[in-house]
Amino acid sequence: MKLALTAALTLAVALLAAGHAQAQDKSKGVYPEKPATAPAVKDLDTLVPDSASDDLQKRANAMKAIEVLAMNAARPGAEAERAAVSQALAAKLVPATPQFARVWLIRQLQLIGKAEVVPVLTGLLDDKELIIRETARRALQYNPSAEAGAALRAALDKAADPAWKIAMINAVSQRKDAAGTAAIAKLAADKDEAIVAAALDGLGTIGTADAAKAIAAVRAGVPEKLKNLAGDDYLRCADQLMKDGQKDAAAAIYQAIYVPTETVSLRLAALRGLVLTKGAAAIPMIGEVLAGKEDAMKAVALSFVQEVPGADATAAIVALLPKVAAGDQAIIIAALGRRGDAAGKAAVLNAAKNADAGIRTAAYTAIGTLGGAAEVSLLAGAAAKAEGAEADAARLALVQMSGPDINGALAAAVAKGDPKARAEAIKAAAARKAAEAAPAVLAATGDADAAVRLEAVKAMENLGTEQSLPALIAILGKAQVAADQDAGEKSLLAICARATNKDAALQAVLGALPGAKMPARGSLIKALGKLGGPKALAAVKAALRDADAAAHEAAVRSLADWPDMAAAPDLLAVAKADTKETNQVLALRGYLRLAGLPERTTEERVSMCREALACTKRADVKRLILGVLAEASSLEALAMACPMIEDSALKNEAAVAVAKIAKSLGNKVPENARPALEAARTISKDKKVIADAEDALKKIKPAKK
Amino acid sequence: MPGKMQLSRRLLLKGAAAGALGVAAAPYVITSTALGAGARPPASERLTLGHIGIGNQGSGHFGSMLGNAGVQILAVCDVRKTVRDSCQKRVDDRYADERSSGKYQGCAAYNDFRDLMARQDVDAFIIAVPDHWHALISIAAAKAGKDIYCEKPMALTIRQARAMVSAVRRYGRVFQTGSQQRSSPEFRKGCEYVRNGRIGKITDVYVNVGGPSVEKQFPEEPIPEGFDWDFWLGPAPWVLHNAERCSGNYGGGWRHVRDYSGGMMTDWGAHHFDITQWGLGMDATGPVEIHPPESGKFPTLTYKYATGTLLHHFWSADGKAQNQYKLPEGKNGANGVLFVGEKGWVEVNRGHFACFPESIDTPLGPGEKPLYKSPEHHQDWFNCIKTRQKPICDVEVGCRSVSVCHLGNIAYWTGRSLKWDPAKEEFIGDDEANRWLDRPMRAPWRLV
Repeated sequence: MKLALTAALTLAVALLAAGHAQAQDKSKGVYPEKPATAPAVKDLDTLVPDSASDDLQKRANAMKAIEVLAMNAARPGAEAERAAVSQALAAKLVPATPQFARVWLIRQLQLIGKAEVVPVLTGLLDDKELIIRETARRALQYNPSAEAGAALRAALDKAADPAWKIAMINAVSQRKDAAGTAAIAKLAADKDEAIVAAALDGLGTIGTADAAKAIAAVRAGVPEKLKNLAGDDYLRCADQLMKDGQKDAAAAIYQAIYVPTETVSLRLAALRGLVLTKGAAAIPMIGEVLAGKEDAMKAVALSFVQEVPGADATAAIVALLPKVAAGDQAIIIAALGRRGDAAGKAAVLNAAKNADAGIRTAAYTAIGTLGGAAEVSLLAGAAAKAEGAEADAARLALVQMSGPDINGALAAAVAKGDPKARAEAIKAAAARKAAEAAPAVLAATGDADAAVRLEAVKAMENLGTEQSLPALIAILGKAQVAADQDAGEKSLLAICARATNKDAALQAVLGALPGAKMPARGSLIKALGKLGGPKALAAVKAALRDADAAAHEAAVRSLADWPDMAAAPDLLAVAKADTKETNQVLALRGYLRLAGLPERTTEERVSMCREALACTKRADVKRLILGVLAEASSLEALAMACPMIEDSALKNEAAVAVAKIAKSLGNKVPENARPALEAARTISKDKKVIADAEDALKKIKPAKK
Repeated sequence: MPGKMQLSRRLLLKGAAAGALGVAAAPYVITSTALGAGARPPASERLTLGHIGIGNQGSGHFGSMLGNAGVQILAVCDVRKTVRDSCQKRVDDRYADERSSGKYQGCAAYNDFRDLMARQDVDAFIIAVPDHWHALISIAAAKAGKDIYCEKPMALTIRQARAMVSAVRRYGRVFQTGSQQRSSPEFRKGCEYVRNGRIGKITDVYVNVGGPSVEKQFPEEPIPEGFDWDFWLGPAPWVLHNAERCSGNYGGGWRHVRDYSGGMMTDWGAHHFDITQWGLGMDATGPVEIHPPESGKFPTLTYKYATGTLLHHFWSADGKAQNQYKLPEGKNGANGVLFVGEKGWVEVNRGHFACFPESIDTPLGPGEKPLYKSPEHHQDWFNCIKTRQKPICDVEVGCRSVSVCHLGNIAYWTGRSLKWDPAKEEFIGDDEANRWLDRPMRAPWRLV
């Protein structure tokens, strides 16, 4: 008995908890499920009552099924089916159908109903429940048939309650029903301000010439607080007329609003309309605003110039320049640049000579779009003389200019002129990777002017080829200051790295090596690392034995950069035996870089990591080893990585490696990897690492006893 | 994303230039005061703001603007009294020293945004209300002569989005859609590579966002004290209150309910379809075909552009259908937006960029065209308020991007393939599908 009671109590508590949990879940909302089979009209007998069920899931599913029925019937080419389903849905709109269900049915008719459902929906406009009336109203509003339009107009005439009258005005006007214009126009003179507002908005939405006339007739007399609304609705009519091709009628409305007694907002909107309807002829009106005293209008008015394309408009915009203040001139110049119309170029070039820095800055930017080869020297000069944003604008324009002969003009600007301007031209040529300017830039690497020389040497990083190497190497040999040496080395290495004719590059470097002194010799040794091959390797090995520590280090760096495994044995030897830790670390980094290359087999990778691990105690190097091990799918790689997870300096990288290797091994992960994988799961904050670790843990087979 | 950029509303004109576009006249009285970074400009030179909707997303904007010395919040508006009272207090506390000196009159709190529109002293609004309200409030703001930052997705329907464009253009307003991914460097880089042909002709794009909104059902719950439920519903159909129905939580709430939103297709789609449009250079147009899974043409919903590019919604209700796609070698999913071209692929998401071949990941060359570079999404809006240029997510951009989201949803809801005319913005040969382009508003609300 006691047991039975306990069991019953336990069951009751469980049921209560489940019920409570269920109630909690449903308060968060229930998602509908799609019906398993396509619903049919006959299913409505069940679906309709279910769509008002207190069981939310049943309700949601039934609503979904009704919607699927309606949407399917409304497909193109199924007109008879659509009509039949609409009528079937409408037939269920009887008082016996629960309100909730009726609302849903009406909403389907909003989407698929036509003339056949108008009588039923019209009847519902008098329903005692507001929600039914309002839903039916919206369904009629959306019904495309002429019958729906007639029904709504009749309902508007009948409407007595102010709120319902507004609702009907909305319905008729949102259909853009021109036949409703007269009725709505009468209401624009109503005593109720809310009705007046709805009527004015309605006329604005209908947007015909008659609607515009109706607004014009009452506008002056509307309450003060509705004047802006009336103005906006009048403008909307103008916009619609313009869209319909009735430009003159639209322009007349814009002109009527563009009077001093209207608000700034309305006048600006009207001005825009005039610009759109009259084109270039309206641009002087913008000039009048700019020259006027209403600062609140100026910037917005100026923005309208962009709305009018064409050379006539460009000329009209240019004509504004003498009439406006400096700040506005800068904006007009910027606008001319954005237009990209060559008709504006002369004005832009003129602005580049202006005394105002803001105007000049805008001009340089505009030249970036409008300018050509003839403007290159102007921009180079500006970049050299100006400061700050002005100089930046000129530089950017030099880089962005497009068109024929720009690079040729740059070459000319590099070759002669003011040294500072030549330096700017060199910078631009480098940024543009202007091959046409490369010979001139190369010649400039030997220039008498230090600044020109330095920029030219830097520029060779982008512009130099194997043919440039002898001259560049000669310059490198003569460099006295660190900046020149660094720039020369950087360019040398870049050219060697991308050389297509490695033999030619190698010949230039090896030819210069015997006679070169440090630091240039060091640069040449490093360059050999970019070229690779047995001859280069032999030279670098020889340099390893150099008594000069800097040359020795350069050789180590060169090996560390080597393109293939030929350098690996020497790198390992340096890592094990070099007297300087810096060189050991450089060598190990290079060695591990080779170990990580895609062409390494798993065995090679693991073997090289083993060798590297034996050479170092440094955490930074061990992290690199872990990075390489992570790409090796092998038990030995895993065995090497696992212990490192206990080192606090390495745990994050070890976690990544352990998880990745283990995931790649699938079912082969041994039991003894479990602690490391569990540690990886705990240590890492990376979702992928955690997921990989968990995945691998699941696959560990229990050890056989 | 909220940032802490300083904004100075007035600019030095003589002898100074701000940015490559030159100095621009602000829409206000121009003074000659230049202000350094970090200094709080005088009240007359700050941009005055009103915040409408201060929920999950709105509170982020609100907090950011509260910390921006170049901005002054004058008003807050929310249909929850507790929220607007608390925000009002935070604003007043923030500017307490100015209030005591008499320079600041206090922050006003409103339930009805129309009362806020009438304020002559507010320059601009940040609108972060649920989607079904975006159009009405934005259009009212444009008519009131205010500049607008409106959260994405820009509108509940395609027609509402187009009405917003009309109003913004009519009144010459600066409108920034809250699709802030365009202001992030990784997205810009990805789209620049795609636009400049680095991966060749784009054959497919895969966008990984969730599905459409549905008719969720909720039990009735009491309306909390101080919550104007009728106003929250606004133009949406009347229904009984439930807390989850109107909750702003990102994982559920109103975002999943069709009367207020388009589900994850718009909530995240307004980000990732927007990036797709940007990468494909389709900001002035859209796709021409949409095929839902029921059509059997593709494993998941797929759009087709006039160029032949296919855009696949990388999602399915069963979570499996998208695995049928043959993705490029090495890819087993789409992280955000995956552009696939004839010569490689580019994948972008927040804080993520990947490409193949890796060698294409280099700075743009002189012959290549950079895309609009926004310094930060709010800052870009502020800059454009000064220069009157179109910001990076201008209203037309927002309209076209949200249209892509809605086109997909309409295909899901009708269950059939659709043909779309992006110039006329209507479906071809499917009048019933065209009825989904808008929703009739509950009276007295109307789209104007």
